[in-house]
Amino acid sequence: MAHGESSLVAPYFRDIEQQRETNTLGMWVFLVTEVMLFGGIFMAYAVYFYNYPEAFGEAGRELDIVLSSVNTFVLLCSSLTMALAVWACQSNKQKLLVIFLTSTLVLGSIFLGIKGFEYYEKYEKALIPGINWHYEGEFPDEAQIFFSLYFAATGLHATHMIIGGTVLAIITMKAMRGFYSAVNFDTIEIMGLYWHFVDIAWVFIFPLFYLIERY
Amino acid sequence: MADQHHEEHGEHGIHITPVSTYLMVFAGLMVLLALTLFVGYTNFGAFDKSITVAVAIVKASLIMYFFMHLRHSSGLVWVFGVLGFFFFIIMLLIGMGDYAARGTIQGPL
Repeated sequence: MAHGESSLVAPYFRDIEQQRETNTLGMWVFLVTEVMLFGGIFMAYAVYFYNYPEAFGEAGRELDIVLSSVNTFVLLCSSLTMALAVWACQSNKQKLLVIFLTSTLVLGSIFLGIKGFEYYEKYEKALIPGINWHYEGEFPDEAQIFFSLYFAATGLHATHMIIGGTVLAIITMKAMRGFYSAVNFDTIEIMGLYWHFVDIAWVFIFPLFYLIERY
Repeated sequence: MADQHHEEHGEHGIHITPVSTYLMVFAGLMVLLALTLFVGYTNFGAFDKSITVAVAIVKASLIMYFFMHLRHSSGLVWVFGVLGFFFFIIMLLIGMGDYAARGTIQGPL
């Protein structure tokens, strides 16, 4: 085993590979449960879109396509920097690791900032069901369903971003103190898995909510 | 760089995906983002949603295969990764099959 490796392996593991495999598998199992969590909201969306396609189209056009496209771009960039952080850790490049982790954190924060502004816009336009709902379009009840699903999906997603960002901040601080290395990179790897999953969730949310009948 | 086409291996055969691969995947994701917007603003009639979701699935697959290292993961990880989406598809198919068989919900809420 490489220098210092034996102290990294918990005693109930055969070796460091088994530990790594277990860590990775554990995160994937969790992500599968997350797929079903977001999946429930997408299922509800499928049912109501099937029943009220015109209403969804009309309500969907209230959403800001520019801000959300920028957000999609920002999130995809953050996935790149997260993947590069894993690469940097595996290649034992400590400075680059910190740079990429920090970049991911900054991009994630930009995403949340833009999302917050979007929510503020919704408040201004009185489009938040249960808080200040006032809709002038053709299908007010169905539009309320659309916006309930919108806030459920994007709210759940934003919550995941906030939790992920908090954990990422802690990991970044540990990385600054040289805690991770080419033999101790499991944490960075599984943080990456979580981050990419949250990105994938947005990849589906974006077209389903923001790109309905925009022609 | 000398080993652009040859992947680095860390100790114990850890696969280190090269930066060039990540950058190419990112470029692909940007193209797909542009495609997503194009599809969103084009009228494909009844296929609108299907094409949109198909593009999203391609993006998700790229992210999972390269960024999430499914490419270098064991069969067990593949089983869980694929299983998750498999059960989601089942939920959609059986759920929507039920609604479609019963017909559209009629009348006001």
